[in-house]
Amino acid sequence: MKILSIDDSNSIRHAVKKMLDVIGAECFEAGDGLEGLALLERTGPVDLILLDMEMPRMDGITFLETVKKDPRWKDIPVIILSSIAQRESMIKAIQEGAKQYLTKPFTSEQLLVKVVEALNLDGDIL
Amino acid sequence: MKLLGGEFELMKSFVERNCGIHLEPGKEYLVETRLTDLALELGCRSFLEFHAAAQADVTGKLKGRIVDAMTTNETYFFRDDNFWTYMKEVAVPELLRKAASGPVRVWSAASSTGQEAYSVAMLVDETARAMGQAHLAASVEILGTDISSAALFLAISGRYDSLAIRRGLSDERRRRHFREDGSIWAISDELKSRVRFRRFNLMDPMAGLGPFDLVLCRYVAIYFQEEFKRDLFYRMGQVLRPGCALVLGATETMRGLSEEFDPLLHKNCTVYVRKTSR
Repeated sequence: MKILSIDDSNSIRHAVKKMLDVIGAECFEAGDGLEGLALLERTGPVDLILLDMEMPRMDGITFLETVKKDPRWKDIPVIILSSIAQRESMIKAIQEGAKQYLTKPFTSEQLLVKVVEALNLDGDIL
Repeated sequence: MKLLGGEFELMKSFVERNCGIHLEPGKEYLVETRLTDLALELGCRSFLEFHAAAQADVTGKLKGRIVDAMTTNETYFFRDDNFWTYMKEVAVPELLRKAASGPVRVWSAASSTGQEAYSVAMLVDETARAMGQAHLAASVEILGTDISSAALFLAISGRYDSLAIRRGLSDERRRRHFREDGSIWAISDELKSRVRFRRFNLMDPMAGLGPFDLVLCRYVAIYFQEEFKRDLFYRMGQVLRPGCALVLGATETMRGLSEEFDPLLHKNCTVYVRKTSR
């Protein structure tokens, strides 16, 4: 299970990577949208993208628009991780095809529940 | 109350260590809005003083309140000291006494990612060992249910990251009941085998679930309308054995909502005991 985490905050990426260890996911990290696109080109498809909104060089919305236009990446589910202050861009991201969003700050349980849902890991739970 | 120079870093580090919430620079407002009331209540004139009070808190009570304030509606191990005092002094010894004559059952009715159900398993294990009857713990069956299958997936895994494991759990309990697996802490196989999880919507009929010797329905009913609460408590009464307790969250009450239960106060914890005759 491969997850791409795009955030310009090193500490957030580090925390997210540790949280994803709970479900045994392999986490790839990028510091902005451009780096995220380069990483996708290099590693090939991932199962899920966790995306910050405000970043230097290429922000979350531009990254999302690019990914959703590319037939290779358009079906990858995207979860937006953003602050309440960025509510407008978050709404736009959902309209652009992001699957879910989570407001910062978040706990590991809050993130993991969203990730499990997005990856449909809970399909067998009765 | 405003955060002054350096105070945010202090609180950030404290909150990360104790609540498992990561605070980025720019999140000062969260600390200010969620913790100012508590700081003022304690007579602190600054967050520096508040931090010192929190650090000096050997009982863990203030830390618990900070966790509460920072993690609204969140789940963590051994949430609410008063409730766990009741569990330790009354409920768990009673469950183990009954377990000597046959299996007993506990229901964690909104188990989320499993912390409450596993906390019960830890306490049952510790109490049984302290009684010199460790084998009795295996006769206490714990059922955790939740409407979210994603939360259940995580509960069943019994795996917690280094931040989640710190929320409410002492180092001693972490070492005793969990094993370290890289950066993750996994509940021991023994305790895991004593807790079952299944998906359940509290609006559905409960006939297939019971009977239970203890039902925990904490911080669930607060989200429901009064009419549904009445119905929920009635149905929970049907699956609870007479004389056994239903426990709500510390801020919740059954007053005016059910005739099926008698309130019982143990120290600062109120529980609701199902009447023996109807």
